[in-house]
Amino acid sequence: MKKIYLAQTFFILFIFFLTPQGILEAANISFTGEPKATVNTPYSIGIVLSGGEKTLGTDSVILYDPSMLKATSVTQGTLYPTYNPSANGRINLEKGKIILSGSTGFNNPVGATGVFSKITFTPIKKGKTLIRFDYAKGDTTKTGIIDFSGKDLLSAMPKPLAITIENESPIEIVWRYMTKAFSFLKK
Amino acid sequence: MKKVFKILPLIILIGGLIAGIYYSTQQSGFELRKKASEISGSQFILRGPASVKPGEKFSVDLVLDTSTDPQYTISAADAIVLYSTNLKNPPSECNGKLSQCPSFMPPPDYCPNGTLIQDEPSFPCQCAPPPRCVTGKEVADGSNKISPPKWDLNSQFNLIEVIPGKIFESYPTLPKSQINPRPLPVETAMGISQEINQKSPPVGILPNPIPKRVTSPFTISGVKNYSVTDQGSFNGYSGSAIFAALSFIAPQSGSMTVQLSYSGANATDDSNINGFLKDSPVSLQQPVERLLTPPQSLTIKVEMPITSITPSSPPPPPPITTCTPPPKCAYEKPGCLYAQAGVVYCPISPTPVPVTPTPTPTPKPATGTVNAQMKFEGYTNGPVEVSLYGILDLPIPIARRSNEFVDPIPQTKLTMLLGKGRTNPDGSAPISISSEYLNKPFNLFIESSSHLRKFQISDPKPMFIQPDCLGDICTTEIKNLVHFGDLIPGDINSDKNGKKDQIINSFDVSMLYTQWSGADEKTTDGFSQINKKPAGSGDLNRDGVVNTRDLALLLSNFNKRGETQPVSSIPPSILERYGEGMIGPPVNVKQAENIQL
Repeated sequence: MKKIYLAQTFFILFIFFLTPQGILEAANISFTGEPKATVNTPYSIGIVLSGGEKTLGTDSVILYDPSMLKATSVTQGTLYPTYNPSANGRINLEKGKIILSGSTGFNNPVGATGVFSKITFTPIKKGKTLIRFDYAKGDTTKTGIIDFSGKDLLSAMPKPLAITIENESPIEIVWRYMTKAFSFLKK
Repeated sequence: MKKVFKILPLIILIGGLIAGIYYSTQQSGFELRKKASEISGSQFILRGPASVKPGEKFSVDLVLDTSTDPQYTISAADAIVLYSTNLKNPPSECNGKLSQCPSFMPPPDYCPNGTLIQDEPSFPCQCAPPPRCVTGKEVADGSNKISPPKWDLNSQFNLIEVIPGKIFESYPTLPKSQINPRPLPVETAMGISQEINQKSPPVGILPNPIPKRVTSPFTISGVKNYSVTDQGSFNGYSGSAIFAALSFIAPQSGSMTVQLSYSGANATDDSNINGFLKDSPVSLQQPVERLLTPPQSLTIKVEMPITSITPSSPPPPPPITTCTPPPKCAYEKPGCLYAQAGVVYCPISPTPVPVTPTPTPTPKPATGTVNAQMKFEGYTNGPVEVSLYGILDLPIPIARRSNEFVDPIPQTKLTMLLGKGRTNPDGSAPISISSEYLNKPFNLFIESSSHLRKFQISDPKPMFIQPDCLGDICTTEIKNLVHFGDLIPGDINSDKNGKKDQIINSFDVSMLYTQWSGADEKTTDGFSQINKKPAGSGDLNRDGVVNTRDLALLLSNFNKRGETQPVSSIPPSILERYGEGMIGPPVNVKQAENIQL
């Protein structure tokens, strides 16, 4: 019986020391959003940081299919005091690419917990599509959560967001045309 | 007629008033005011007491005022504070006059549990030593030991606290100030190493006379968080408020001056205030210097000399007027600097040394290749454009004895751009050198558009660059291999001529933010399609984009400076006095005196 306990203890210790610290400590970045969207109806997703590690900043590079979605706005969160680039430089409509970085100042680390940004799309056509982070381990031009030493705390590919885009119902189409023609209906 | 003459001045006065009101409210008036603000810019103002008592703690406020600069919003500022100290001259030197002796008043915590004893000077011409702190127990048992002083009277620094203001979110040279603003002891505030923050060398290294104004530079930087309005213009600071409050103690009577280092409106390595135009998108502009006029200095009188501290101390010695000055340094000669016993530094001749052309056995001009080897902190894979410079290491003119002093001409620089090159992935950069620079003694240093200057670390120093070919015989052997070690990234900004300021400060932070990469693809010429600016210098790791990784590199190197001289060469104190490249190598005094004319 003693041998079993001893083996168990060694096994636990073995697992503890073998587990890469990066996995235990790593900050993470993820999407929040509904899995379904409707053509021509604004569709918003959130980008959230988790893990709580002290960070200098986060670079997010997001890729989407420009034939399925059209990014209309990228709103920065309140997690970081500084966001770059400014509003007109965040979206590349042709490539389906969104870039947003948040950063803090000297000696003022920001914990990786909270809403990093919010992106609004207009779905273009029916079908299934993915919104994903552009990430490659060690690539400094892509998505990363950076600490003050310049180390990337993001150690694995973040999960993409799968969306199913559906057509508008006839009522929605009529309503859309009506609101276009009579703008006061929007209110 | 007389009546007309009487009312004429009144008419002129009224007319002038009307014209003044008209012009000030019209477009041209606004333009005039705008032009005036362009000239005046923002200000640093020092405010403090006119006089204080010795030993008294007092505060000097450094105010940042943008009221004269309405078109700009401030993103960052650096204040290099210089303050004179009246502690530098050692007490034993009265310059032959007892009246020039300093009097000491220690701070309140100097001797909290003991009694201050003021001793008499050992010799008639000496000043009284600093008071001793003797505890009651030591007095009772007769041991009369001196307790360890809590305050070093001979310390150069009498700046005791720096309290950051609330203008900027970050004060990078004052650790943790943003999170918990509180008074910082000088040792903490001085934490970030800086070349010019080094204490002056001990007495004896500098030649007589000791400079009258000994200053201790101290840098305070403030950086605004980078954020823009919906129109893309910078959310900076406008107004008038305290940038930082400095607390001093003046330990002895005399006068003390606090001032800011300022080299001119175009200099970015001195005190500066960086701003952006308020009504223009920040992506279309670069930070500009708004400290356009030299800040006024502040002089504080320290009065009420203390001669007796304890009732039991003996009365002060009667003034002696027949003192002789302290003996002068045995090695002193006019015109040369005595760095240490037996070694003299003499200025080199301002006249250019005739350079004999390198004999070339073949008609085609010889060229050389310097194989520079270096490492870049945080470097990924992109090539780095580097520039190789050389300082011509001229020997001391033999005919010039050490006592024949010729005043150096500071503007004579012997620094030359030898060539430019591009690094390979392994950090090597072959740089082609034209024939005119071959076979001459150069101290080599290297720069890039975003790295601080670095001198060669490999020997020989100075180096004679060899030609690639001897006549028609060329070999594949690698010649002129020079190692430069690690180059420090972060010095982004440069002037119109490409000259860099060799300091990583808040100006570079502002520059990096303006170069931040967007979602647009870069064109083949390296220009961003949106910003139409080169990605260049802000891309510190050379991965093609400017992002948080580059910011991390910059912040980790904040306040660092480029090297000013080769390693193991001239002491900084001497270099500061005579300027870069103006000092020859050390020569033994005896050797110099034995030279026959």
